[in-house]
This record gives sequence, C-alpha cells and structure tokens, in this order.
Amino acid sequence: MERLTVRYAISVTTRDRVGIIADVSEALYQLGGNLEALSQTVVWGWFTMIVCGAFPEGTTPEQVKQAVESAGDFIATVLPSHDAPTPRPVEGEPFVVTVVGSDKPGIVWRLTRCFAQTGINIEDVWDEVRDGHIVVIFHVTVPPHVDRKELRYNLEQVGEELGLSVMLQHQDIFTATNALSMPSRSSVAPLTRPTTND
Amino acid sequence: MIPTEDILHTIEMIRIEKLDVRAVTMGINLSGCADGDSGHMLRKVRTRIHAAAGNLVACCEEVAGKYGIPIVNKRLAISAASLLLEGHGPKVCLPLARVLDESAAEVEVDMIGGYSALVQKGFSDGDRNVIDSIPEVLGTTERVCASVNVASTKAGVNMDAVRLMGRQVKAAAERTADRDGFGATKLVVFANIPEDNPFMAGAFLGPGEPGTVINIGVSGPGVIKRALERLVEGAEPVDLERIAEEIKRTAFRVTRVGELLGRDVAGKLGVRFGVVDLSLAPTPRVGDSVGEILQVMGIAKIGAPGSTAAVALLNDAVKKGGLFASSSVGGLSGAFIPVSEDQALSSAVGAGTLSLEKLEAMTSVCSVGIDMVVLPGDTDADTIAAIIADEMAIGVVNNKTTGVRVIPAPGKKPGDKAVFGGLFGEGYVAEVRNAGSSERFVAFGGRIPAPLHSLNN
Repeated sequence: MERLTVRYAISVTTRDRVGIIADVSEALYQLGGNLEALSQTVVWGWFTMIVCGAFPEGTTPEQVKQAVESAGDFIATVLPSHDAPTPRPVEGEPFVVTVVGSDKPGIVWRLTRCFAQTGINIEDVWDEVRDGHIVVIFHVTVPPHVDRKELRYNLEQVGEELGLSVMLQHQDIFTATNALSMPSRSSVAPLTRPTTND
Repeated sequence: MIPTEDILHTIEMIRIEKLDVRAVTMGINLSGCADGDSGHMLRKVRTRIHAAAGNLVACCEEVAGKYGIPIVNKRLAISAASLLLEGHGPKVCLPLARVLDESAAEVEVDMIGGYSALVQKGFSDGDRNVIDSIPEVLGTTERVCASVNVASTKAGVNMDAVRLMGRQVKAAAERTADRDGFGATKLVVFANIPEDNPFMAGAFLGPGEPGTVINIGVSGPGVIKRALERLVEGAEPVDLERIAEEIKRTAFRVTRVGELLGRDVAGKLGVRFGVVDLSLAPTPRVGDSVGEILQVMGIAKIGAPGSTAAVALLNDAVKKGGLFASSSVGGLSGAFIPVSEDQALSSAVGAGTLSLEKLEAMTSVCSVGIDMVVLPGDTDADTIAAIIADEMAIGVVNNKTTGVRVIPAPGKKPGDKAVFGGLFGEGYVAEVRNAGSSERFVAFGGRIPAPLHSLNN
C-alpha cells in the first residue's frame, strides 16, 4: 500500500440528497485517500460535512478539491491537517446553556459574545425557530477559572434584555435524567466514600 | 452529546412542571453531646450543629445553581432528643428545644426534626421528658419538629403511649389555638418509624445511621401528572399497565435528580450520602398534587370507589421506577397524601367526597398515614388516640411505616377551614364519625401484641 503521508481537512456543502457521502468518499478513495474522521449535519435542507483523511505523498489540496467537486454539485474547502487531533481549545467542565423565548435578531450574537469574552468554548450548538419561538441549546466547556455565579448572572442579564429565558446547567443533570447510567464525575461523591466524621 | 429532545424534556420538567428537590436533610448524631451537666450538654449541642451544618445551606445553593434545580428546603434531623434528656429533669426540655431552634435558625435551615422518642415497648425517663414537653416545645419554638414511635411490627402497639399521644396531639393544638392548632402540624405519631426519612415533621436520625449524613427528599407530583396527561390525551390507546409504565419512567428521572444533587452536596461537605426518599410529596400549589394525579387516572371525585386501587398502582410504580434509578433508596418512598398540603385532597375533604375512613383505607397501600388532616376542635383525646391506634395497626400488621399527623383545630367544626400557611397549606375540617365511642378500648392500656407472620389471610 502506498504511504499516506499528507492529511487534509475537507468541508463539503450542498443541498441535501441521498448519496452525498457515498459520492464524496468514492472520489477520495479514487485519489488513494483513507478517511479518519467524519461528521455531518443538515440545516434547513443544506447538507454540510467535514472529513479528515490521509492521502498519498504529493497529493495537493487542489487535486482533492477538484476530485470532490467533480463528483457532484459540491462546494469543497480543503485545508492541511495535523497528524493527530489537536488539543481542545479549553479544558473545563461541560455545561448546557438553553435559551427559550420569542425570536429576534441578535440572540446568538449576544450570547456567544458573552461566552467568547469569558473564555468559554462552544462544543456544539442547536438552534431552531418555530412560529416565532426560538430554542437554542449550546453545549459549552466552562474553564475552571470562570466564576459560574457571575457567568449565570451575565447570561441571565442578556436574557432579560432580550426578553428570553436563559438557563446554565451542568451537563450531568441531563445525563442523570436520561441515561441508564449515573454520570461518573469527580465532582460527585462515589457510591461509597470514606468519611472523616462518623 | 445528549440528544436535543432529551435536553428539552428535562428543561420542560424543570421550567413548566416545577421539578425540584423538596428537601436536603442533614442527619446529625448528637449522642456525643450527652452530659450530666445540662449547661455543658446544651453548649455541645449548639457547637456540634454549627460544625456539621454551618455550610449546608450555602452548599445546597451552590449545587442547586450548578444543575438549575431548586432545592426547596434545607433541614436537619438529629438523633432522638430523648437520648440527650436521659438523667435530666423535665426543666431541661425547653432549654434544649430552644437551643435546637436557635441553632437551626443560625445555620439558616427551615426545620429541625428529631425531638423524638421511641416507645414501642415502653418509656425511659428521657422518653417521658420528650413526650410530656411536646405541646410546650411545639408552642414556643418555630423550627423544631417532634415524632414519637409508638408501635412496630416486632413489638406491637404500645397502647399506653397511644393514649398519651392522643392527649399530647390535642394539647399541642390547643397550645397554638391562635394559629388554628399549628403546633400539631409539627408532630407525627409513628408505627415502624424510618431511621433515614428526610421529610418533616417525622425526620430523625436513627441509631443505625452514620454520624453525619445527607438524605434527599425528591418531589415530582406535577411532573408525573403532566406525563400522564400527555399519555391519556395522546392518540394511542392507554390501559393501566401503560399508565404504570409512564409513572415508572417519570419516577426514574425524578429520583435521578435527587441522587445527583444529593451526592454532590454530600461530596462537597465531605459527609456520607445516605438515601434518596423517592416519595411523591405534594405542595399546596395547583398542579403539584397527588390528588390531581388520581383525577388524571380517572377518579373524578377523590375518595370515590377506585381511589384505593389507583393510589396502590401509583405508589407501586413510583417505587419501581425509583429503585431502578438509584441503589440508595430509603426513607418512606411512596406517594404521600397529606391532605392540607395537597389542594385537590383538601378540596375533596371540603366537598365531602373524601372521608377519614377512606383516607385510612388508602394509607394501607401508600405512604405515610393519616397526614395533615384537620379534625373538629372538640374531638376528645381518646378518639384521637383511637384514630392513632387504627393507623398503627395498619402499619404493624402490614409491616410498613404508618404515621398520624392530625390537627384538632380549636373552635373549628366540620366544613370550617384551618389555615397554616406555607407548605403546610390549609385544610377543611373532616368529620369524625362515632367520636366519643372508643374511650373504653383506649383506656384498657397495655400492649397490642406483635402480629403473627404466618397463616397470612
């Protein structure tokens, strides 16, 4: 097998239909590439995916882009990638921020600016407007240095200004109420713990 | 990543259906504070409570904020006060109760339970001290709650204690006549008292428990009611098995909330996590009612035939869901029917559909007994004792916890309303049929022997 020495991160956007991933992955296979990570999402009928893969020595970004775009009605962006996944931008505890209320411009901007200014990274976001009613769910990582009381206050202030309900909750509450297993985190006392006072 | 639908479901339980943790109760063993010198004993009690619970409220607020779930009540449950009062004269009772009341206020908890005595087989001097002082203690303190265990499946029913408690319940109500007999709302008479119950007024720390422990009482009638409403209003046909299944699933979620928050509070305080009591505890708020669950289950008038069967299904399904959610289930763990604290039950008593006798029948299949029932002020002490005796018999024979918390509201007659406020709610006075007809039975005294546990028919 040819040595796969160059890595690319490839994003592909198009109208959603059956067979997109088959077409893109076939084009990359024909180039001699091997897929190592892939994620897709569809919003309002728009399909987007990001693929990380390794290719034979000498494969250029232009070749990859051309191979993908000629496989269908695709818009592709190709960026050089590292040998291994890069570390996450911030370390900390997983929280979920839920926003509910009447839709208006600026909601996502105001809240995400608040996250950015505090050093909070968004891991995933889901946003839907139905009949003028908006629901946004941010999965975020809150670094240890962030004062959670202050963060909650700031988010609630933004919510109040925009007439929205904003909740900041540790992710464990959602795991506890929905998964079969209890969350096993260091923040929670183990099933049996030695005690100092009994 | 947790699915969006699951997140939205949990958020709805919190925002719309008012899911909360009803009580974080810290159990504190005060036996080490016993001292022949009453002054020393009182100082040790205050110091011990401050050392154990000084950070309890702040910690609960931090954890409630972290998960976005309100913790409504923070409470203390001490080892039975009778142990501290052994070897002391009756004059020490009130000072001890005041120290408990003041210490609870100083650490900013809502209530302190454990002004208690266990007398199912007889009285010690400490037990006598507690029982004799209960009316005065409940009349002069704000936060102190009292409980007396007069019966157990192993020992039978101590009818001398039952008779005495009939008098003390009446005295506690009369001592607080200006507040519709509020004192009696803080007094429970038990059979098979649980040692780890986080709910008031019956919380105390039993002798088999750790020195300091966090027990959790969850809530959730509103959440279960909404889940059942969605089910029965849905397109699919529904039978009682499906209803039981939905209650189980919802009880699972509710119990998990209690376990998560309880473990976190215990971990932060560095004490042992005890149990989640997965009782369905109603509040006077509309929509947070066990009675309304029965209505969704098709009992149009609470107290009508079918009420006992519906409560039995509900109680059993709650236990099954909760037990799968947590391996640390304890306390009472069932569906409560505290009448004045549940507006649908209270209205049913007011409308005459729910009688004392039907309530008694329902308590044979659920938690916790004749609870928060307002009686006419002229109900005699022996009739109250006989009501207690009946309920104790149900607990003793069925090997379960039962309790009696009745309020003979001074000056009130059947149909009148007594108002206690806050979580204690308000209740219509229930009719006591055949009052004054049990005196001779109660006056015999002695003990109803422990029941047989074979030939069960």
